[in-house]
Amino acid sequence: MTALVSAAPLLLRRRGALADALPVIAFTAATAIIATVIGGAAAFARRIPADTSGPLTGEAELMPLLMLCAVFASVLLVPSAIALGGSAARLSLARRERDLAAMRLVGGTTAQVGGIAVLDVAAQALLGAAAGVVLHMLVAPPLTALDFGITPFTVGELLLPWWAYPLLIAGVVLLAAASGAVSLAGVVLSPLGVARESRTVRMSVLRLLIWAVVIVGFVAFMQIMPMMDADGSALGMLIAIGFVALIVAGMNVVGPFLVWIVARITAALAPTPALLVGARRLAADPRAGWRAVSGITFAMVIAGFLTIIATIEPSTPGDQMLATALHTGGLLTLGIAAVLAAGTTGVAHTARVIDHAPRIRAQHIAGAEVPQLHRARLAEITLPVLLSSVVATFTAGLVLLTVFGGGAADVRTAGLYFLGVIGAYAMVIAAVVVSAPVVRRAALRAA
Amino acid sequence: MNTASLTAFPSGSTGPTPAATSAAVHHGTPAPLADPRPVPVLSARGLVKSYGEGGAGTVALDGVDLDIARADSIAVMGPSGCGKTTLLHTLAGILRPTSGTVLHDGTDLASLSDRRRTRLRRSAFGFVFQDGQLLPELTATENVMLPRMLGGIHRGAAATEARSWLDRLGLQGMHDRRPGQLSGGQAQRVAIARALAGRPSVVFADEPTGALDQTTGKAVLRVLVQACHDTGASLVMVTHDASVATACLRTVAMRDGRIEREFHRPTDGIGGVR
Repeated sequence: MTALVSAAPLLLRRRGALADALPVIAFTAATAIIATVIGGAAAFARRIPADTSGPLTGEAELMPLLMLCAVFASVLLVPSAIALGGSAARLSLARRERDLAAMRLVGGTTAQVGGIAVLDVAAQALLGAAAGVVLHMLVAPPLTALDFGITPFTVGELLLPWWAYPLLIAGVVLLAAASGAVSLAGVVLSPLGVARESRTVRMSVLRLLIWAVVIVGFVAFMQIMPMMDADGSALGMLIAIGFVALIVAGMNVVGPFLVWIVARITAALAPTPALLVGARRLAADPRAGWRAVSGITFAMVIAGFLTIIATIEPSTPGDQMLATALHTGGLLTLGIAAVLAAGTTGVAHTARVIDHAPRIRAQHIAGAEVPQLHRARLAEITLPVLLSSVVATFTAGLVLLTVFGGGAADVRTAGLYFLGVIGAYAMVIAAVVVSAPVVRRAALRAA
Repeated sequence: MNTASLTAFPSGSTGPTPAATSAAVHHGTPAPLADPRPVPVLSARGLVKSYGEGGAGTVALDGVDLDIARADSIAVMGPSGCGKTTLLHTLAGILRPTSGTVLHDGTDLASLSDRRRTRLRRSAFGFVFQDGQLLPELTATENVMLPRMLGGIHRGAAATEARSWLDRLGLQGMHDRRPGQLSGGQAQRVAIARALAGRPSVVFADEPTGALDQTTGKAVLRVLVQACHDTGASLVMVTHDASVATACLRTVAMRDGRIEREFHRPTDGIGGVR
């Protein structure tokens, strides 16, 4: 093992600037977002007065609710940031596969080579996480300018306590190492190369039926709820919130099924080769297709709720404060989710291009032009993006219409929200372009 | 070729036979003598390809001359590193030669932009790789019709053509199967159908049976040679296997980037695979 570890630096060669830098950038973004989101939630928590036994007024009155919203946003965003870290680990591993095969060839066992691969991923994660902490500290001052309708936060409030940073870095490194190890479990490291296990995907219509049943249940319950007496209304509210949570969570159940079915139909009818290839790739792995947009779909729905609720005409200064906080928080959540979704998409697509480099090369040799190869990759992300917008609009619209009866409407806020949504989706689609140089290099690589 | 022979042997024919040439000479009219050699569809002259910078680079091709006629079949053999694959890639316009020319129907491939060479490969050449390189997510039909769609053919027409080619190569009932649901030999037949669907003038095959067992490899080779013969496509095949090379009308033996020897075998129409 010692000899192999000594030889590892010779065998682990550079694989091109983008493939080497992208995992580090992704770890940096994931760490910075986790630190900033948790720091933000903690800042709201610190504003809650220590003594809440007496009546609270002004900001203090709103803080418990705002902290709840911040925690909710954290619960939404932190798993997406962790998923980005996982994708970065997968990319970090993908760019090493030829080196790993070479190490097996010179006598390394699967365990030894796997261990070195995981260490390599962990080293990149360490570098990225350290840079992420620095980035988090750099973005904290501009974030103090955000208007939550309350006394602006200071930089000190937005930063985590000093001891949290080493813990965060260690957490990201451990997460990356674990993701790398899990990814390795799905591949066979042999001296002749790296083989990936593959399987045919089938999706059950049960996914759609379960979601539909929850929606019908919610709509039916909302018809009954007004008839409940005062004692029952608190329970009714809890049940309604439970239904909304199930509908929102159910998007991740129905999303892959919708991607699968729409991709199959599109592939069967696709008039262009790019659409045919993109749709077939999606149909082969609809979960990955949906994963690229699941975070942004959640964020769209939540941001939609918050911004629409914020349009309800405030009657008191407290309401005004709450409306501003929800509006800013909604758009901020959407923005961070967009960055995460774009990062995950860019990293996942780059990893796939590296995985499929020989096939891309063969397609180019057989006459596929590089722009045609790019168009297939764009088609692969555009379909989930369109589906995500339909699912998110349907979900948010359904809940809001059922709860508010379509009462709330503010053209400016709604317009701002939709601009944000379009910008978010544009970021996700543009993230695919990040892998364009890797596609080009794979296509034109010397034989 | 002169005007008389062009009239006698229209485009797409395999060129004048010695008997036809002899008939023209003994007719008693002052007809110009026909060139007995068929017009090459691909002609390489003085091909040199070196990798690396300056004089320190490795010379993979060192002055190769080669003519490939319509419906010709050539096996390129030689030890590893002798330049077989580099020759195939240079003839196909995938690599630009360091010096020398490759003419396809009179056009020097090196003078074309990357985009035009890519289009030429799509329209005039077909490729069969050792491991098929089919897209695993696409069905057999879709794999065959994809290059046709890339060339601007309507999906419906491309699908009809693709199914017809699959049937012709013995893959009836497997149109909707994915490469993972096919055996190695069946997948390679799909790759052959993909290479031939565009009616190419030249098919390039790089170790097309290298990943198959001997029996399956022989069957696939027979299909490849027969299909090229039937469509009038020339076949340029890189192989390590001497028994595979016997399927071709000519065998070119390479060493150190040069053509060391060339063997011709008497034609029986579709090569020696039985």
